[in-house]
Amino acid sequence: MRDRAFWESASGKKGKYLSMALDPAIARTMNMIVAAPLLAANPTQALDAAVHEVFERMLGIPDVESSDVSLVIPSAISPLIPSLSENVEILMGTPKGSSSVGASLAQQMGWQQPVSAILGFAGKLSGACTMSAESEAVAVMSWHLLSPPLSLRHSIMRDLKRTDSGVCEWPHRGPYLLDDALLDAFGEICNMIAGGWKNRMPGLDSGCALSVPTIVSGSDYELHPVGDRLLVERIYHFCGHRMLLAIRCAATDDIV
Amino acid sequence: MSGIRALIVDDSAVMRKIVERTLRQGGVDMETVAEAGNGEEGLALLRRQTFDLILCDINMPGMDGLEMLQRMQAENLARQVPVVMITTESSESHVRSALMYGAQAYIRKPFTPEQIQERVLPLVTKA
Repeated sequence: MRDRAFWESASGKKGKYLSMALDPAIARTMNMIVAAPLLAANPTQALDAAVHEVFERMLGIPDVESSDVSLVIPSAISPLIPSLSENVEILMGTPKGSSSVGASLAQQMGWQQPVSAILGFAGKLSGACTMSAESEAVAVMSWHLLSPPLSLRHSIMRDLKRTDSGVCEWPHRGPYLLDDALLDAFGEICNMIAGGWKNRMPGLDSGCALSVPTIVSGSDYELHPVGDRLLVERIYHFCGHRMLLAIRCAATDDIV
Repeated sequence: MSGIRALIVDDSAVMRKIVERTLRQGGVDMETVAEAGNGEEGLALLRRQTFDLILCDINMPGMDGLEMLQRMQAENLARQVPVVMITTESSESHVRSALMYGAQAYIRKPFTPEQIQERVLPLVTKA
C-alpha cells in the first residue's frame, strides 16, 4: 500500500509530507516520528542551524553567535549542493595550507589546552567534523548537557548565571577535571552537530554515515583528508567562551 | 501506570542517562533501567530479561541499532515490546529501515524533553 505519512519538521510545524510505500500498521506509527530538519542553502548555514539547535535544545543555551573563519567548496563537492550552483565560482578555491583545520587553528587562537571531538564521514563524503575548544569551554558545554535537571536548565541560566553583560558563567571555578562523563558529553554534542549538519545538506541525508566520536587532547596533531575538499570553519561564541567547528571532507568517486 | 522495565541502548553513557532522566521527569515510572553500549550487548540482555520498552540509538560501535532490530526479528525477541529509535540519523532510508524492522517511534537528536515524553508515554501507557 502507498500511504502518505506525516513527518514533523524540526521546528515542530506540521506540513511536511513524505510518500512512502508502507503497510497500514507502519503508516499509523509515522505520526510518532521526528524526521529530517529543513534543508539549508549552504554548508555554513547548515552548520549554524545545527549548532543552534543542539545548544538550545540540549544545552539550554539559546544565545550562540558565530563568525566565519573560512569556507571553500571545490568543484567535486558542488554537485551535492545544487542550490549553491550560482555561487560556486565565488566560493571555489584552495584551502590555505593543509593544516588550518582544528588543531592548528586552535594554536593560532592561543588555546593552551584544547580538546577536540572528531567524527568521521563515510559514504558519499570522506572526511571529518572537528569540534575544538579550551578545556573550560568543554566543561561548560558538557556541564550544561549533563548537570542541571532538564526542567531547570533555563531557570538556572536565567536566574543564576547571567552577569550584567548577559554572559552566562560556569558555576565552578579553579582547577577542574575533564572526566569521562564530560568528555563523553562533549563527543555527543559534536555527534549531534555533525548529524544535524549532514541532515541539512541536500543529498547527504542518506548515503553518508557518521563514525562514533573520538576525543583528542592537545593541539599537536593534524588531519590529512585526501582529494578535493569542502572546508567549513566557524567559531561560535557562547557564555563568554569560544569553540571552533571545522568540517573538511572529500567527495568519494561515485558522486564526482 | 505501574513501573516499567526499560532497556536503553546507546554507546554514550551520558546519552543513556539523559534519556532515562527525561523519561522519569516526564512521568514514566521506571522500575528498572538496563543499559547497553551497542546492539550485541542489547541482544544479550534481551535474551536474558523481559522489558516493557526499548530505546535504541543507531550509530554504535560493533552492532548498530538497525542490525539489533533485525536480529530481534530473526530471533523472535521482544516482539510485543515497543521500540523507540533515538538517533542523529534522520534520513528516509534510516527511518524506513527502522520501521520495517519493528520500531514504533523515531526521535531525532537533538530532542526536547517534550518530544521524548510525547512519543514515548503513549507507547508505555498502551503497554
